[in-house]
Amino acid sequence: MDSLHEKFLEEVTEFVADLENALLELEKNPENQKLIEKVFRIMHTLKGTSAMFGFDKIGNLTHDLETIYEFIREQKTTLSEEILSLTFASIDFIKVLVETNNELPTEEYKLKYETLLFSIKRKVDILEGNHSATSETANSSALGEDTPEIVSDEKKIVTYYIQFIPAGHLLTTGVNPLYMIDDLYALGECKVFLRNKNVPDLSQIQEESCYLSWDIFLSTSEEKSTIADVFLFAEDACTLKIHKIADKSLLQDDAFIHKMKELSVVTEGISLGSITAYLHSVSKESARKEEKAESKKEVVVEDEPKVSLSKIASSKNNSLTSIRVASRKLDEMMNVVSELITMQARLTLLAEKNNSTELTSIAENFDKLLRQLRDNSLKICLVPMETIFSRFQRLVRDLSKDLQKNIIFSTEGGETEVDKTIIENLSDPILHLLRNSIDHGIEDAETRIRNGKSAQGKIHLKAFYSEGMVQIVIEDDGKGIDPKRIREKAIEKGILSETTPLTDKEAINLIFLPGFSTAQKVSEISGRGVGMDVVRQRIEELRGEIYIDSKVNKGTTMTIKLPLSLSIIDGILVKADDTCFVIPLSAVDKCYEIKHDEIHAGFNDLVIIDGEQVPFYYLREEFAIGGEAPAIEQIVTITYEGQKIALIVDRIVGEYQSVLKPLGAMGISKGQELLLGATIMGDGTVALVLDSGKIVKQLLHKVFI
Amino acid sequence: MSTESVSIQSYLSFKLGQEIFAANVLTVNEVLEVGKITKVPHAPAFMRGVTNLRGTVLPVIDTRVKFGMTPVAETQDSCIIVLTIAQNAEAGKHIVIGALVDSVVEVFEASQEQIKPLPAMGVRYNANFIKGTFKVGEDFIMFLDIDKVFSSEELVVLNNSEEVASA
Repeated sequence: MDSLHEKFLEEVTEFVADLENALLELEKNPENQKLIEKVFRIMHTLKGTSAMFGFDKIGNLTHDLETIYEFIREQKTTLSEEILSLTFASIDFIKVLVETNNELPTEEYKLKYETLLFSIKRKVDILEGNHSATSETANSSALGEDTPEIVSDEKKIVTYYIQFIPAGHLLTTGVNPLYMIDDLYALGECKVFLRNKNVPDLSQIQEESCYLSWDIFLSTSEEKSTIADVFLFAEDACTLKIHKIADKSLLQDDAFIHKMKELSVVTEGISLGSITAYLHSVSKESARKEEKAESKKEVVVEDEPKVSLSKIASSKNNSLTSIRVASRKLDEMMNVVSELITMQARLTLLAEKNNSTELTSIAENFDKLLRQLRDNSLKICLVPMETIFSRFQRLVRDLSKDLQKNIIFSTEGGETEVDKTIIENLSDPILHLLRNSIDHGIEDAETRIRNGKSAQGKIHLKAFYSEGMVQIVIEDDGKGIDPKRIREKAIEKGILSETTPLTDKEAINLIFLPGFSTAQKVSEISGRGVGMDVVRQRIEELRGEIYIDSKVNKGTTMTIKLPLSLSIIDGILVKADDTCFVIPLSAVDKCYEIKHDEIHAGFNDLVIIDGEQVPFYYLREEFAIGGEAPAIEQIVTITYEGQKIALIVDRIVGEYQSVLKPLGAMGISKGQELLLGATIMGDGTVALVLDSGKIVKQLLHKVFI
Repeated sequence: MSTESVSIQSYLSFKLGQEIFAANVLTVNEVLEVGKITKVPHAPAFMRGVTNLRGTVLPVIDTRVKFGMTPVAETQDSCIIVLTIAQNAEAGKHIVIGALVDSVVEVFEASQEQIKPLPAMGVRYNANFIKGTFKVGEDFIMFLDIDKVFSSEELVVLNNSEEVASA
């Protein structure tokens, strides 16, 4: 597959996501013109690009859909449930077609595709029938009842009025408006009026700005879209209005031309209002002045809700400031940055050894720059959560329809940015949790009303930063999880003995054990007990955590905590004997000193820091590190979930940014869960990165139970 | 293994104490000098630690401990043999580990017929790990089933049993 092709596929996927988003919004708010514009625009682009890459099936679908949305855009029909369903069905096909490279995998699909295409076409036909009727009435109201009937010839020449107002910066985009007007001449008979009223005094002219605009009359047999295509390249930088003003060629009408000339020199210039007014007056020889004003108003009012092309253009302009990069390239870049960090550690070490001020200052500057580079590259790899939120919108919509549950799904914090590797691996677990909430959490409407809740269930998904981590919370107001039932189930399964003391919260979190499912009914969607343990495993692979909190009949809250980045960690380098450890900086509070004798003086495993008793974790002992402990040792206090513990080490070396490497085969053996991984230091030795959260958990477990 | 059908193959022989062992060269990536090995807490005894293999972290297994021999301090001759091991045969996964040995002897060629089955009695080592013996000159060389010796299942199993024993 060549790169263009790849890019196309990428783009389509993105378009589809955008489209789904917009449609879901539209479902709630079918009158939103902006969204309709957006859908229309995406359809239009999809049609164009897919045809270019030979995806004719996508082209066919989008072509007719585009027509439908054009009708909606022009307010000739409203967005119905039927249209939405057709669109969603088409999106599904587009997804399939993209994956299968324009092939429909089975006969069944082919049949479905044909049916869908047919129903869309039928819809278009119906609309077109309607449209001609409505446009006739519209014409008659605007142009008067007895519009002169001109027998249209075979080609059906119609006259368009095109208002082309370039934005000031048009010329800087490399577009020559005159070429476009030339192109229009190629389409049919054309009459152009220049508006130069905006041209300032010579002294104030900026030579790169475009002050001119044009009123163009075109008699052609071409479609409106063909005309719009002429302005394709200027779309972003102009206000373009194309109106059909007559079903015949007006340009042969000398009186009309004369009138327009006249209009173009008088102050108000040519406008749709004045044209229709003129036509009106021509057709109805006894036209009164008020009517003129009225019809002008009418048109203006009609125009307002339409979002002009320029508005879309401005939103498009924003996207020009970003570029698309293959994620593989980002991975490569991150690898190089990681290598650089390791090299930098060597350089620093060398500078220390050599005792040369010059070298030291170079090393220090290099370190500073590298930190910036690292932060920037990490930022580049961040993706807003929104990208996966839209997928969930769709899932919740479909699932709740399937299960006949009425659910409002809301999201928050879509702008929260997470490393792309995390996002990629996050969507499945979250999907699973959402499925669980819909299937098991939210009750059906009757039960809900019986329990004094509103018939509509609520699921809220939010993402935010906290404690140097990304938190994702899924809340539902469903029936909740009953810790009693979990306990019974656990005892029945032999996971738990009857006497084991367990708080409700701990009991609920038992559902993360493999093979645990309390659902009485196994559905297609969930309840086979293969889910939650896999969810937890996936989250833990991302170095994250998940817990559940639930109140019977109130609802369930699931919290996922994730690190911001997977590969690079800021930490504090410490030593115990000759082994180096890295403590992630995000958890570190403060550093202290302690005399070795004081550590074991107490009866309980507590040290006193700042007048506070703090449980400690003595690295030397816990990790069975041999050798003699120094007389004065150092303490790093770390906090995890509000719990503070003291980590006692021989010596704090300093701040250290480490590139996390997997422990390889070591990682698989048990007992290493206290380590996040390893990192390679400047002198080539390996330092171990501690998982501070797990250490706190393990220590407190020992102390309090 | 399809490679076994080829009659003549190359083997790398190494020493642990007085005994000589051999591994098929196809499983050997390279032989390293012993650098600094970082101990890993809570690791099983035969895990010597981790070392830096050109930017990746290489777990090092003390082959002596693994084979139930007494560990000795490293000497000038000590080497780390970097091996690729099929971790999960059906998934085609491989892991890379380092095996710390007393010394590397040589690479030699031997035909399939030269590999004799192990005498049933008097074996100090886990017979599962040994595919057979060669006689090269005066020496008997034990041919190791590397995948079995260092397979991850073996590592995990051993690890668990140790935890149980220590608990």
